[in-house]
Amino acid sequence: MRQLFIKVVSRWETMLVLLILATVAWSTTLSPHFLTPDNLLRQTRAIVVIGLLALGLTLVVIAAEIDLSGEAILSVCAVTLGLLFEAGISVWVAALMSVVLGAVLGLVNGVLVGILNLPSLAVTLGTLIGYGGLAFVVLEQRPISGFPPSFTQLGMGTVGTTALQYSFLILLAFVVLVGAVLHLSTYGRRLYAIGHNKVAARLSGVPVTKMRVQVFVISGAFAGLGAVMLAARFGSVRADSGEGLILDVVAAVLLGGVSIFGGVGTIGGVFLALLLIGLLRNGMSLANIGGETQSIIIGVLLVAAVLIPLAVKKMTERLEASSTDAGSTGGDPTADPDQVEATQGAS
Amino acid sequence: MTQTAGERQAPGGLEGNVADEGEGDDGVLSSVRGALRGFREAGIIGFILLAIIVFTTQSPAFFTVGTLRSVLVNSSIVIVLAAGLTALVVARQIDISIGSTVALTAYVSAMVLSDFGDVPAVAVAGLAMALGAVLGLFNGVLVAILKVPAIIATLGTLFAYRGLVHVVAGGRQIGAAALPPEFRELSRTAWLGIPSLIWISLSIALVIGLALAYTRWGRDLYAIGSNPEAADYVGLRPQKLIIAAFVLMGAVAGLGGFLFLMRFTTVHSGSAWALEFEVVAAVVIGGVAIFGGSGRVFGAVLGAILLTMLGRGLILMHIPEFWKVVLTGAAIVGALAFDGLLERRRDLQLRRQRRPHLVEGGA
Repeated sequence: MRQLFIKVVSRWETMLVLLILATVAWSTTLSPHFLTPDNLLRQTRAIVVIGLLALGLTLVVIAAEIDLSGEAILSVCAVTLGLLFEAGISVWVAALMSVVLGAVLGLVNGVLVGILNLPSLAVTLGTLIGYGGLAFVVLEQRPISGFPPSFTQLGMGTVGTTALQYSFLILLAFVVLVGAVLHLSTYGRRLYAIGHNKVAARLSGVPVTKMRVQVFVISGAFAGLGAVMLAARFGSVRADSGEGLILDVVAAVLLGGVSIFGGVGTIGGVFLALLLIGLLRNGMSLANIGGETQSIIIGVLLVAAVLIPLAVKKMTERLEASSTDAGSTGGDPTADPDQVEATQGAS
Repeated sequence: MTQTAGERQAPGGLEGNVADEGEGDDGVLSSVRGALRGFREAGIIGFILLAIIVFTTQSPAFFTVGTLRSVLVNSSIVIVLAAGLTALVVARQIDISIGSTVALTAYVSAMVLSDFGDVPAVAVAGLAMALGAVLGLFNGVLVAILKVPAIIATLGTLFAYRGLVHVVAGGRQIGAAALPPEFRELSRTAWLGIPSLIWISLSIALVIGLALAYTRWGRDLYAIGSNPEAADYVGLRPQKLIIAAFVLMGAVAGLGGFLFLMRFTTVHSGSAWALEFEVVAAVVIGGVAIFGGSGRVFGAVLGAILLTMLGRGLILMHIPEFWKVVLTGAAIVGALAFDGLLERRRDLQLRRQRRPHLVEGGA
């Protein structure tokens, strides 16, 4: 019983829930209208686009890679969606094309990283810049708007007379889908295996190359879907539609407990982190804290999200070392060599 | 590693022989190739020459001393920053908070100059560098001591430092009118006919380049970058060295902020936005390997010059400036892919020399 208690308390997700409750309490003191079901449901639309990007990034990071290009892919897809719509193509076809285009742009990342074995950090930094420029080349600085109400309903509409957002339901559906794939299927388990140890995974028959390409394609497709939801929510698209999203997306994934070193993390954690970031931004707005100061705080959270698990790990290692000084503990056999190296270097 | 059909065919080809024998019997061609192979920056110099030829055929006005001067002036800030970033990248680190550091130091410099007009420019530059060094130290502590991966730490500070600029500047802008007249003239001064910005940037690049190549600190950074564990075993102190490299990057970015103000004489909270992208691009296309351990400041300087030249050439050819950003991204990816393919070929050749049967059989 006591062990179960410790297990629950020491879980990363428990800390997120506590942080969420604290944020809710803080926001309630700021405005009496905050803690109503209607308001809470209305706020959920703010995390839909970030959430979709974060789902894609989660898969990439669990496979021990990184994709910085999501926001730029989103911009290119949003611009393309707008131009196709302007050219008289049905907005629904344009939306579908947007997702396909996202997957194709993701495939470019995937081929460079998975097949040519280039470092994903540098590759996606390059495509972040390149795709970002491409969006401006295609649309320059004018906005496109005038989407039909049936389409914008997707981003702004609610179910019946409640405040439950369609867009949030869509996000939820994908959270459940990705969660199921990651935690219940062989595919998910193989992804963790790749993230833990690429070579061992390959030797155990996991199609490492193929899967590493696939996660980037999926990540790109989610960015394309994010573009659709963004166009539907704001009713307009611009070349800089995605600019600055990267901070919240990376913060949501890492704050969600997904290890930047790969192989660790849950979709539940990422979803809680999304809620936390959404509530936090909303609370800070209620407190009249400007968007730029909000960025400082999210930036600090991002760094803290990496720092805290490393610090906890170091502390527990020290505790173990002092309780059994014979050095027979040996450590976690599945631990990433980088992490082990990092903690050893620090002590 | 997966084998492709193309690679399996290679053993019978001419390429393998040339590389194996070095300055073999093929004469001039192979010795030229051998010389080029040892010279990392050959590729980028080739691209610069190509760009000059293309742009000159489009507009003869491109090939003049005036163009050279303006390209060097326009790339001067990126040159300084790229030299600093090279020291980090050879040690397998990265800093993407550069643009925010430049903006913050530029704005603080402008505040000092507009409030106390009689401060000597050198003192302001020193202050900017000191402030930048503090910001760099913070990055360095996060990465080297607290073990946050450099990309995540500096992504966080990219937004955090930019937020600080907004806190300090608000919606205000400090323009030329608020700056002392002597300061405004500074970027127009020249020595031996060469503008001050060029002198400053090239001398900073030279100092950092020499330090990386010939000091113990520099060589140790390469050692850390090419094999962190080995560097640890032989007794290097990676933490200290990496922090020093981040502090250097910060100080250089502070100087970049000062130069930014000197050159544009206007600064606001959005200044130097996304500047880090151009700096990273200059370093990567200059042949500084992102895996760490190789590359030189010289290459990064050439990278900065090539990027500026591309921008100028596009203007000459009336191509929208957004294309420059696309090309910058494409250049990074292209340079990486090129490096990766070279690496793979070298790897394969080495394996073939040692154990031919393994290559024949496939992995």
